[in-house]
Amino acid sequence: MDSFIALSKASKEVLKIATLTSSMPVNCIITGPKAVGKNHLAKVVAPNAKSYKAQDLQKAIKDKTIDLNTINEIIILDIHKLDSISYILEILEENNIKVVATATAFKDSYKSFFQAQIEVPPLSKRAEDVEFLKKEYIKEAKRVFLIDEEIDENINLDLSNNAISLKKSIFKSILFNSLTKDDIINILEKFLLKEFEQTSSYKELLPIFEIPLLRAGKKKYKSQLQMAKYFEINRNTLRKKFIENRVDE
Amino acid sequence: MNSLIENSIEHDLNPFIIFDSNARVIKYNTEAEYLLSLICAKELYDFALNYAPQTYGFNNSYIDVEFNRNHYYAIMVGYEDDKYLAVKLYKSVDTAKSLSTKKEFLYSTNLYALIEIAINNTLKNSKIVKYLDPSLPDVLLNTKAFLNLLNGVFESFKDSKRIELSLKIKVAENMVVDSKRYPVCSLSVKSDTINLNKNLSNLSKDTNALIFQKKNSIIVEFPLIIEQ
Repeated sequence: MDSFIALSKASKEVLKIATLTSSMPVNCIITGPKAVGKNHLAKVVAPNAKSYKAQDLQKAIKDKTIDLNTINEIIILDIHKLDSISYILEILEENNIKVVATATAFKDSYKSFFQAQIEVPPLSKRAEDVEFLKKEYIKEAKRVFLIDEEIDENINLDLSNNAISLKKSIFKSILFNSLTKDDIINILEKFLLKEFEQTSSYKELLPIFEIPLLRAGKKKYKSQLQMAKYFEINRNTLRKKFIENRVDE
Repeated sequence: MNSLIENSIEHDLNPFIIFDSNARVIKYNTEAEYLLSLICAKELYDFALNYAPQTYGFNNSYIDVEFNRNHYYAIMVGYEDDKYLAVKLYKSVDTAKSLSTKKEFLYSTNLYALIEIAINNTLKNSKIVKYLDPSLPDVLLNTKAFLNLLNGVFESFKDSKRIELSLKIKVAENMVVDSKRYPVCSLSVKSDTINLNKNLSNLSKDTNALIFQKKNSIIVEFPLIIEQ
């Protein structure tokens, strides 16, 4: 995504404040967890500003490779990574530069310098944004994996790390659904070769095959009685396998 | 010599007024003119009578009174006949903030946007009832300093569940900045609970705003400067 997604109520509010702040000669700090759109929002507040990673800016100021006299506004990414925040901010203030910064968490010490403070909520609180991102990531994944046909969009979304985990979960799900039997055999072969560095015990490696088999069987046939019938094994043996592999019966 | 005395009174920082016995203003200095734009002459006359000496002569009393945005710590009331009454009020130093503009820091600022940003900073979890005069133009302010001040004022209401916010122009009142008169804009923040931010007077230093704290509210008054 190359712009801030604002379809949910919470993100619309955040975008509104960012837009209002863009017309003001005030400094702005944008806080929030990783991958929630802070950098895109910073561009809304200061559309013409160049973005600097905190340490890169620090180095540029130290090495005098940046001409602060020619800059009106600047974006500092992850300002908390600066060694001496107050020193850098003082220099920028002296040069009358509007500063827009991002950070993962708000600190009271930011208050005196940053007149505007915007907190971007995590994706777990932005259902409409997640839905939009999901569709976009699915399109991207289909393009990357060269999939033309419709895919099952019933995906278990992982929002624990916002857009990063969301994208990963979608890509993984689509990739896994597109795998053929030969792909899985090849993947397992590679995996086992790697796993042999840790263990070559047949008993320890067996769950890799049995757990998915038991889980899928349970989903398909609902009861162990039916599973035993279709798996063509004894019901007691099947039950033993459930217990050994700690799969919920 | 008489001219020197008269001019000294005229340029005194404290308001000086001579009333007749019908509470009509006969003479006043520049500072009194400003005071009389804030309160009516009769009100001031009645107030002064409380401190008048029993018989002819002059009486100084220490008081603690606020007429609109000015605090006074003493009053002198005197008369030499039944016709005229002289009154002088003494301004408290802490509120006698002289307003001036550092033009290089003034930016045309949308007050509504500024208020929204300040609410988002501090009060986004409170219920806010807004009574904002929608007709206010963009105002020349030291935007950074003013937003810092608003943040400080709103911080005092951080624990309030319901806040009333009003923004309006005060009728028939002016503020003098660099010898020019401007209409007064008043932002009032009101709630049942205030946890006063003690840094407010510090925060107001770089602004042209005056701060008044009342029992349940804080009022920020500032000149409506539109053009430099």
